[in-house]
Amino acid sequence: MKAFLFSLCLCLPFESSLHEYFFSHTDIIEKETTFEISCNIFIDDLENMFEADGFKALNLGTTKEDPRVDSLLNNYVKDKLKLNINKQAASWDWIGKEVSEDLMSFWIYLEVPKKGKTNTFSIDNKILTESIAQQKNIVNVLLEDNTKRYLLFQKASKTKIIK
Amino acid sequence: MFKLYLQLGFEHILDVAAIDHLGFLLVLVSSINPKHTKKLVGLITAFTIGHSVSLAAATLNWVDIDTGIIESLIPITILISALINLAPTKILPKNNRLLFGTVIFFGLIHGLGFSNYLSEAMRNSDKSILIPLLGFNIGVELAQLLLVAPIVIIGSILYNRNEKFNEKLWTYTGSGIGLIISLYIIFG
Repeated sequence: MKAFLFSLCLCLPFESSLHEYFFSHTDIIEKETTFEISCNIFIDDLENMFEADGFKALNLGTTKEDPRVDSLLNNYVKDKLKLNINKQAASWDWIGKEVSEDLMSFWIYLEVPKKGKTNTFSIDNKILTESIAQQKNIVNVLLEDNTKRYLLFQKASKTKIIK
Repeated sequence: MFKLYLQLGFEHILDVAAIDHLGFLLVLVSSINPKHTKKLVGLITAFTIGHSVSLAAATLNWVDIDTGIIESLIPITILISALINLAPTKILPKNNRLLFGTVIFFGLIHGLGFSNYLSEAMRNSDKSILIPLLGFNIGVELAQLLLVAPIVIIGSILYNRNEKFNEKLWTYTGSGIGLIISLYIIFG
């Protein structure tokens, strides 16, 4: 028995049994004149998704990165992350992106110019949920009136109304 | 924030990917006559103490262990527990202290597995660790209770209804399924 257990331990495929977890994180903070959005998404998940869409060899996050990447990312996030402020679909300015310290993910920065007081606010986040079944998107919202929400979006999630 | 991590902990256990935890609980429950509620609750609590301690320790960065090794050790804990139950001569249960010690130790390993998931969920979050940790842990516990309760209830009903249903059959069924799950995770 001991010999059997020992040999079993030796032949274990250590790497292949690794779980993979799928998360993205988005912070939305309301300031005086803008909403600041920072969005953290795993690079390899984005790369697989773009590849499935026919964009090969984008070399995301490397020095050889395809020049189309910023606009591809902006359009993708625009399509999947929907903010509705004062009953109007919000549009944002692309501020920029950077690679996270551990080189695993992108930080994407966006800014929504404010038009007066925020009376209603709702959000939907479908980032990668259509390409990855286990994808979970965590969103932290902090509004000027100190409304604070921690939200979880997954495949079947619907738009969430904050205010 | 508490609610979000409670939901994450709860759903993590109910997810198919977390079948290893169900496997271990099944083997644990099947090692005891479901009528011995006290011992059963004691063992599940021991497992909980084990994984809560190591989950907290890993989340607070007190320990740092290779995730690949942990993920491989988890199915081994199920395999060993199932083999102990299935062994023709009883190896452990005679000695309660050793049994509880083993369960706590295996709980510690499972907790490190949870911490991989939780740290991904808390990635880049510079906010308080304690609330997510507490929420996640309680979510895990609730989901485990939800899974264990029907197994114990079915076991008790079978014991009461059927004279042929005895401790051996109960143990062999639960541990057998647990064994298959562990082998599936290791080799599948």
